[in-house]
Amino acid sequence: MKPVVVKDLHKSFGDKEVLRGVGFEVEEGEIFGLVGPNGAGKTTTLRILATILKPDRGDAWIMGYSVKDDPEKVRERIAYLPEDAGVYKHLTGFEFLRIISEIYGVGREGFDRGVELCGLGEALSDPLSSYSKGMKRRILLASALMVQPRVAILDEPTSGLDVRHAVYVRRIIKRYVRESGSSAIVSSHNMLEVEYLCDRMAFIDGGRIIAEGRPDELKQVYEAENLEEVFTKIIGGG
Amino acid sequence: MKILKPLLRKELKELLMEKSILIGMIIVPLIMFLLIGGLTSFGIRSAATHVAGVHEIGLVDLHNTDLSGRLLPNMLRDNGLKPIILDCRERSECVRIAEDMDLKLVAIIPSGFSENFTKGLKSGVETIYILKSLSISEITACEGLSSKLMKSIKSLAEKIHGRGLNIEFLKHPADERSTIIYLGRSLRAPIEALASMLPTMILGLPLVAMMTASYASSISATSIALEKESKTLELLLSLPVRRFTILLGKLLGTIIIVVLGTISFMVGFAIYGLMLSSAFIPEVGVETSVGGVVQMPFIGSIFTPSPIFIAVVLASIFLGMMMTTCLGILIGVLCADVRSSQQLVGAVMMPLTIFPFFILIFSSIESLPAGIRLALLLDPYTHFFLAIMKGFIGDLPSAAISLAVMVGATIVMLVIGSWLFMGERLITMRIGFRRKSI
Repeated sequence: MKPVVVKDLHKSFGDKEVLRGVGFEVEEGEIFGLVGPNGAGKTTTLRILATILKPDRGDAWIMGYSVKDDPEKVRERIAYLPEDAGVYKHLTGFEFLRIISEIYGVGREGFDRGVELCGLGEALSDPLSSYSKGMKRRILLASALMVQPRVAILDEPTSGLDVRHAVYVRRIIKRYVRESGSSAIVSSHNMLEVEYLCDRMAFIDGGRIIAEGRPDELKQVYEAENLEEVFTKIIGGG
Repeated sequence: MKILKPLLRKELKELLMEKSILIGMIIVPLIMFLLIGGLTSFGIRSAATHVAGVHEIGLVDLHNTDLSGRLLPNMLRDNGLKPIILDCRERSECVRIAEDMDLKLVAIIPSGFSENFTKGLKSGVETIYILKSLSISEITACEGLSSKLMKSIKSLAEKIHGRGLNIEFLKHPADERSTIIYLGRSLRAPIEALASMLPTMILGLPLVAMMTASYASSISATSIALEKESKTLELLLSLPVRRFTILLGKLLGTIIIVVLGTISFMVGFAIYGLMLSSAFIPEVGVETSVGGVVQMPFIGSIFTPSPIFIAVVLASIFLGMMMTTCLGILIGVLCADVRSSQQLVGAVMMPLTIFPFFILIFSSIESLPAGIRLALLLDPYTHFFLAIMKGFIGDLPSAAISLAVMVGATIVMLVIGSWLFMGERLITMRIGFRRKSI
């Protein structure tokens, strides 16, 4: 059973058709990259996979459970890191990790894993409002991965982070997938990041998947030196 | 000054372009005060109509002399009163007859009145006021009758003794010993004392309660809008928790604060009651400026709340806060951010609460025209005030109906709020008061 199967997703907001038949699959132990320009439909696709939005047409299955019919079962098997997600400013880092570990029922072990994953040390005793953007992202990522989801859905996990925090976040994601054998879907604008992280990737534009494959394959097919060149050849903007 | 001008221009443009300021500060007050003005002037007009013109009062003459049976009635007529001679001996009988004849005032001339009056000795007149409501219009009307009655007695004293003789007697020829009857309860007190104390007693309580309840709507609306604004909502919704549980968590969180608010309110109310009672309740009664003595039973019956009254107040406050909490949830779901939610809370709560509050100060719900009464009764916050006011005066069936309406309104708002919360509307619905670009 493939951990993620997405078939013919359609979604509109009012008159605006955001997804027009998105489909892809993610293998076990694979990091799958979703790349596209702003407004291409990346976040909407990930929100549907996280059961926050419902597709108008089509469906997606996470570990065999439909996001339309079994959203609660899906939520038990995923962790979602929304793009630019905020934090509960009055909670300390420890309190936040404890609440999440209690909700997922991963107990002390899960909590300790979160503490280790975020690598924030003594800062975990401080309220989250005092955290920098990079620290917030690290604790949110740690909270997502400490529950050991079968599928981690990460929407632009390093967006707006400085190099130090971005490198840390990428390393944690890669380590988690390699060690746990779980899968991850990562959306990103950063081609270097995608090249470093992803086993396979898909380019999305105008609500459709327009190219899919391993980063090396795509470079070869489009005769490009790097993924940025592939992007400009497929989507334009060069 | 040169720099101030463009700065001021910028400030004014920024502020006037802000929809919420335009609506909240200029349009809403204009419309609201227009409506409130119209409705309150109706109340005042109805009060004035009660006072102006010729009014029938019941007159019980226990003395049967020329002075009490002919001269006094003539004087009453000269002062705009039309005395109806009631044939009764017992007070209860007089009250029953007066109620049948729709009279607001019965004046009882005691035996010995004429002798004292002729000798220039201060007499006593017993008055019974029969109130249909505790609205300002009703009490003002009774105050008017009291004033006309006392003026008539004064004029009679001047007529009999002429000006300049026994100034003290001419200034105050008779004491009025009043009994106020409302819903079968009899209270010994001057009507003026009731008029001066009633707004504080009856309306102060719901006003403070309303302010506390409004805070509840603010909290619940903020708790959802803040999740949207600080971008934690998506994370929350992706957790392996049912939406209803999330909603329940928010409701319970707010309710705990609401309960604390209710306790704080009741403590404050108890202190308020104690302070007022210590100020108004004398050991044996206190002399009022209008003459007469405020009796312990009257004040005591008001300031020593019965357990049922306390229960009604507690239930009203709690339900009011619940209702407001649910309304806040509804608003929170609809709004994109905290600022918009606060503005919408204000815009919704203000008219819903201020209209019934102002209208009920001046008029009783029963005396309003059918259309306005219906509109008011459709507003659940009218029932919030009514429950407390009816509970205050011991009208338990009416208080219970108002409480039931509040329960119904709470359930309706909760159902709509839950419906909005369950689907993706929570993410996609975004009412915002966005600023226009200059």
